[in-house]
Amino acid sequence: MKSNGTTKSPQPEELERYRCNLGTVGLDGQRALFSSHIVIVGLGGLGGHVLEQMTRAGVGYITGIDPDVFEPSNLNRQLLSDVDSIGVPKVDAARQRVQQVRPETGFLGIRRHHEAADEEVWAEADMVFDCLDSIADRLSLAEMCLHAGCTLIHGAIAGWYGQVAVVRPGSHLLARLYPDTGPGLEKELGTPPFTAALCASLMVAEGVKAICAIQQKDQDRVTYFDLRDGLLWSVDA
Amino acid sequence: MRLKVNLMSLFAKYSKEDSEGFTHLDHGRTIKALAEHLGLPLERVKIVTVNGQQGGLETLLSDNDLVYIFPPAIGGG
Repeated sequence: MKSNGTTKSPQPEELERYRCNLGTVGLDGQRALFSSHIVIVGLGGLGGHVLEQMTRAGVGYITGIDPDVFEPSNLNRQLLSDVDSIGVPKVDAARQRVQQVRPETGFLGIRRHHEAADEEVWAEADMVFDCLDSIADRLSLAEMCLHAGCTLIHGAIAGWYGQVAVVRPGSHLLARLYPDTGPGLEKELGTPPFTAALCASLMVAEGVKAICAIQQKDQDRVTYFDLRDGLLWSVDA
Repeated sequence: MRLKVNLMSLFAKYSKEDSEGFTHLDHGRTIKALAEHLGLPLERVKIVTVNGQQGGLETLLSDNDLVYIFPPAIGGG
């Protein structure tokens, strides 16, 4: 871990709150989560679900980056949005949600494009979640994580389909995965709520495994899912 | 040779399956030749499996191979 998100040891009552995590990640894993610092880039369809689940997993500190405010077309899938939050900055909704779910988790909201964030953001992060929606932004973020030596958890969706990958420090996986910076399939296929939620869950599972040092792979792999036919593959990439 | 080719997501519209669900290609051809036969945009053919193993554009195909080709997704916002 690069950082220590929680400065004090967890109290017994806090461990009781997370006892339903312990059978899965173990006590050492839960402590690693309490001490972890993650960055979520994009607080929309994927990012809202990632924020919710990583907060409930018990991470110590979250930096959320998104320049946008909520729009009506976000309501179909973005967990942090509701009819009362149209026009509200996404980082503000994220801060409020973290406070409601786990007040012990620190939160820094950055209402800017990720390229405008200070270098310390990446230097202090144990892990970065790519919840963006354009190839250019994804490749830019991957390059910044490569430079900072951060593990990047990548997720992307298009209609019934989605993909998740763990981009380890030093890997150029995303540059190999994306051919150019052209438009994506999602413009044609849409971004429905269930695909965003499942993709985010797979990203969180990979993130938790990495933080807790569970089932780590040396090989770059992409997990691809198809909800229309109910299929999931993990392939070397 | 005949192949079982699963074109995922938006690639599905490039399918040239026969009535029994097989795609036909000359013997000794590669994934690249298959992609060209189907008219797939080669620059977007990034994730390929052949009989459950990772493949690539130069992977040689055999009769009755099971092929999956996935385009990369992009959305998330």
